[in-house]
Amino acid sequence: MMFLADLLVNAARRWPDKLAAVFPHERVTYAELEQHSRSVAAELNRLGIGPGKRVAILHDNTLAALIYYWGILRSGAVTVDIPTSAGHATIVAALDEAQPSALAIQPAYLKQLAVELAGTCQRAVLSTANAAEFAGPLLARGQSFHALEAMLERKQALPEARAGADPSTVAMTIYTSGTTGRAKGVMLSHANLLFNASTFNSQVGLTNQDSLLLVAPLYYIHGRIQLLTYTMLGGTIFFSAGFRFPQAVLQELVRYAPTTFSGVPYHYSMLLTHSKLRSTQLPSLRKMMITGGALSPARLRELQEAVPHVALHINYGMTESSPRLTHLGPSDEVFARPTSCGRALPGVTLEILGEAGEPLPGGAIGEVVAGGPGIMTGYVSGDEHASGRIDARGRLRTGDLGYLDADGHLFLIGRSSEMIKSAGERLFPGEIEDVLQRHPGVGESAVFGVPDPALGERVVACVVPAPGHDLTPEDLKTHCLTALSYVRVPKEVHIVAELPKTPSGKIKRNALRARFASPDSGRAHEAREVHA
Amino acid sequence: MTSIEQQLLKHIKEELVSSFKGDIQSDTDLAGIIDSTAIMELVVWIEGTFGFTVEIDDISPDNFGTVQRLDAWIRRNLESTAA
Repeated sequence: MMFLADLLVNAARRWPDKLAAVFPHERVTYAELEQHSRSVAAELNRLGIGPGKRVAILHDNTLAALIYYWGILRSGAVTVDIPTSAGHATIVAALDEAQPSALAIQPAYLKQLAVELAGTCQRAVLSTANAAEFAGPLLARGQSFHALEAMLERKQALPEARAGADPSTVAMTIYTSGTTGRAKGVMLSHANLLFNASTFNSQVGLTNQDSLLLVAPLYYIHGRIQLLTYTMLGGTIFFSAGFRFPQAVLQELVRYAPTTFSGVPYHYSMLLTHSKLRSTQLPSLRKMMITGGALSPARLRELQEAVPHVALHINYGMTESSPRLTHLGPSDEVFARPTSCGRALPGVTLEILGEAGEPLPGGAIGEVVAGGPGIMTGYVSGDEHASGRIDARGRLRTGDLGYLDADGHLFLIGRSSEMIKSAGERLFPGEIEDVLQRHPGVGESAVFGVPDPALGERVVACVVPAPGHDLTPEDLKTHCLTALSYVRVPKEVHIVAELPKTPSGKIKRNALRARFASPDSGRAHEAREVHA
Repeated sequence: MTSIEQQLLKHIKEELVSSFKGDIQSDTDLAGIIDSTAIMELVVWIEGTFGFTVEIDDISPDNFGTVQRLDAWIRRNLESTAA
């Protein structure tokens, strides 16, 4: 029986002195990380937090976040990842739903959120010593504050085996954007994630000699599965300072010389248009993984021309499937079918269903439905069946539209859901419309995505003013900034007299998308494209 | 505070940053406050407002770390353009 925490314990046993993680200003070996995680686990156990309990993490990519993640797993508790990029209301709602016993939080977020968090349910707040000054509102409500530094000083033993533990129990919960505007807590088991990490690697062939520049946040499945994969291998992860500066990411690729890189289409577009990727030598780089959406065939070719010695690999998946369902690679396979996202991983089944749920033959377009050992155990909200996400046969309804060719290659052609993918984030109209509707001058609103060469899609809003109100797009953008992070704020707001609707009164988003998808002067990102 | 700093602060607060991130001063670290898409918008705004072309190498944490650093970098560009 194997659990996620065993990946770290095994790596520390086999490669104690190897670097597990390198941050811009800190680094840690596998032996050190194992010891630190044991100290955190012992502290959690001492607080009565272990199997069956949840501990939330609200952190950007930092060494403390990494130590807390492994410490929580080793305590036997379940990790709950909360995206720091979400608005405060989303963060508080997720914590309210998950009811974690403790919260590991970065000092900057404790400073911003201490008052709101005091109303949620944590018994204990875990941070670093420099955050103690922000913990007042929580202490006043009887919650305790624990600094990582103090935990690491107390080196403690931890029971090695957990009698009765079961790998099919939940190991991690990841909050991801949901269709209703509320984030959904996706619960994944040890078995789900171990299956995904090992099966995907059987296709891609990474070894102990490989290393990764990680640009994805650890709070998303893209980051977590990379962490698990490289820990399984005993490889080194170099943590990027972030994609805010594409040329700085390229400099990290030069300085750290990792053998692999994994990004979403937005990351590759930014590297191609806002960095000197084409004129930079990256001799150590062997593989690039493209996930979370499709790069156009033209962009794929540009990427391959920029790094001709690098093997490209594509995969498709989602948080609910731990995450990877398909794989296509290396490059000759990719360029044989540049619009495919590959074939099902071993153990994964893919089917295409029609509108009545009937299986469709090869070549026919329908909803992509997936089965296999990676499918989530459920949502924290418990509505995975009621919402139709998991069907009666335990299959995952992806909400994506596509077809399979005769060889089993999957081709995606759209989404049946209203998801917007912008700058590597997955957004749903509901969360943005909810904020727009709180403006007193807004009668009705509809939010949708239109193609954008740099962002993938950009967020557009159409708003009908309430009677007697004058609205300007600028007012509404400013209003959105009071509750939403910048990537979620509509990049275009159109004030319209009415919204197109079906006879039953449902907004026709496709009609709006078609009307506003034409090229437009607001495309700052496109205007900035530079071929270096 | 220079007038460039004032212009930058006004633009960033009104157009690019969620108000729940807290108040921004000239020396506030912009990491975690301005995301990658907002930085690109800021670059376009700087080019339009101050009339010089921003080089890829200049879009860096050194120049974009705080409003003060943005101000110093913009002034260097304006001086070299004028020279």
